[in-house]
Amino acid sequence: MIWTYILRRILQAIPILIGVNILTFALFFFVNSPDDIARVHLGTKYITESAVQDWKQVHGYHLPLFYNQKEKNMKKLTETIFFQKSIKLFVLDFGLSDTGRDIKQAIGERYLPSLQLAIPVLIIGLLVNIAIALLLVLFRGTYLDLVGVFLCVVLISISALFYIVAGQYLLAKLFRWLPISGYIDGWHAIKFLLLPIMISIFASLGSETRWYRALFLEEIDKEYVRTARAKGLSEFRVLFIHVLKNAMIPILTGIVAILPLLFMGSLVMESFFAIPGLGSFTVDAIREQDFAIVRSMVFLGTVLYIFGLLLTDISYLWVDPRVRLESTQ
Amino acid sequence: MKMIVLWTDALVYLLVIGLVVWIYFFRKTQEWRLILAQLKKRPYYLVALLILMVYGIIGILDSIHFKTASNEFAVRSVLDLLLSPYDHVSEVTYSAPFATHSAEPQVLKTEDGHFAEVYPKLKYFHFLGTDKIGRDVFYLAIKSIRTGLVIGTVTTLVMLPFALLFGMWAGYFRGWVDDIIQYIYTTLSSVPGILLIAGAMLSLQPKIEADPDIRLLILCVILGVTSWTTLCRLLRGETLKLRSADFVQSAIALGVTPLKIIRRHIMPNLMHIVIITVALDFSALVLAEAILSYVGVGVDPTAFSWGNMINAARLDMAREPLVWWSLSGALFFMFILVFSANIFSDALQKAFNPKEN
Repeated sequence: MIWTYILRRILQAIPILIGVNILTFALFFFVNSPDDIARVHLGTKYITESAVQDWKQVHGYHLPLFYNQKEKNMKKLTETIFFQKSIKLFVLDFGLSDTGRDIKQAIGERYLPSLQLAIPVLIIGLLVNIAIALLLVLFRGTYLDLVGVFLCVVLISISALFYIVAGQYLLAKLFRWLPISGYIDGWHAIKFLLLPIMISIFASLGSETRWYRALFLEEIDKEYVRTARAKGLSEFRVLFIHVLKNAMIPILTGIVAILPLLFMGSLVMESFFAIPGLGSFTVDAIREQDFAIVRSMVFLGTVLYIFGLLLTDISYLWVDPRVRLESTQ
Repeated sequence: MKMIVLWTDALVYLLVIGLVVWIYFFRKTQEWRLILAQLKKRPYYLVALLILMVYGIIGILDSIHFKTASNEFAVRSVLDLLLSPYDHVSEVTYSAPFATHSAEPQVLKTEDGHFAEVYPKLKYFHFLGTDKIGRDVFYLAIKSIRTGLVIGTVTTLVMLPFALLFGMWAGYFRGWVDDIIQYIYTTLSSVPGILLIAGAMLSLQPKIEADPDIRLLILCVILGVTSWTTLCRLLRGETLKLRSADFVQSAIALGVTPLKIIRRHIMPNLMHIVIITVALDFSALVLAEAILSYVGVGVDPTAFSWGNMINAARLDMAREPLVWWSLSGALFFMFILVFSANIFSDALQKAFNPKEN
């Protein structure tokens, strides 16, 4: 059944999440002891041992790592840093940040701007890149193709920071078409989101187009393409309908490959354009050395990535009848 | 004069020695001939290689450090010596490329005792101008080459043994070894790279202390840990394919030990994947350095790097008159390196991909 296929994919994700949980715990509590965290927040000079202990008490870092001998029964295991700070992540209970804010509430307020930026970038970017790649393949072997590929390599070689600074300078400062940065709620947000969306798409244009072009070139010599041409279909129709449909599996796989990049991209984009999303939240936390927030975001980022993988697996069912058939057997 | 070897210097020397030894043994192989054929066929590949070599030489010159008897505290490199006096003199503030006077007025006492706003005359000629605190932009951009190269190459040096070993083990032995290795790299690659790097850099920050060199080294190690998974996955897949090939099957049937099979029959056939991935990773890493510096988990803020230069120059764009030279200087030198590396990796790809020829 299709449902067993989906269920199997979900079950496969669990050991990975456990692994990531242990990894983040090791990183944030073994490599870096709670005492270190306290010292970072209190400043390195003139701090007493009791100040460190107080800070740990307030922020819940005073508990033992794995086993609490002072408590009874189950509390021996639950009143520990591992349970309170790490196991609770599985139910998306992120606790308080090192400055005392409720992380879950902050995420609730900030996920919408992030999605408003990431989803248009993903969809429009995909359409634009695939269209350009198909055009390059249509004109393969000509100077247009050559120039296109060369431009792609140039675009790849330029730092994303250049696109941001140049875009901001040209469109916002010189021509004054769009606001430089900022964000407001509601429909007017589009005014502020337009520039970061455009820059994000442009920044990934080179690598994406080149990748899709290579993908379509793989398909072009296959037998179904020859058959389609023999039927008398126009080259345009062959490419934009037949080849595109058959390249859907690698395209979908590619989307998963860029999902974490999207996260990375929006991290910088959001903080550059002062969009109050999860990306700027994370960058601010990194700069303020808020370990609790960074730890939560590492876990949340992984959950989102694995969720994206799951969606891809499910979408395979929809685009490829062979996967559908295998899963029902 | 006393020579000083920093940690990253030692690794750079190691890399150079490794490269020489590798070329010595590699030049007899089929791959070497394929690469040479590509370089001969398309001269712009040769130009890219030459530019990379110039960058490489600058990087190596900047990795030979010494202290002079006259100044016990200043650690200088051979490159500093060549670029002297720009390594120790600085102007007051911004000045445009080729300018003779500062771009910012200063209130100074004039000869007749009055105070007046004047544009101070520059002490030296600055071909790319100077930055906010009067440092020569050309000098900064040239000094940043070493950081970029170290991040691009030492990271590879760190991750290559793991990727090769684990990838070949998983593909050759299959079974539970494969399961464990697959689990490790799936888990590591599920964490969005930038978050893993940020998390690791943050936790290690109290331990790194204030040594920019150690911080650079740690950054390379962390980047290596997060980036070996892609190569490992590719190598595992290819090893799986090779293992069922006839020549490996007959070697197994003849009773050749696994170690020998891996070394003689599998590893040479993986080399083209390794070379292409290393070349592609290199340019990605150089670009990543700038992003990481912006996020605040990159190299030490006092170190010379294009990321730091861009970060410092970002706010310059809001000034009137516009200060564009610092930013464009950093971006230009970075672009040339990454562009040459991309062109050259294209040559490698063409050499190893018979379909493209």
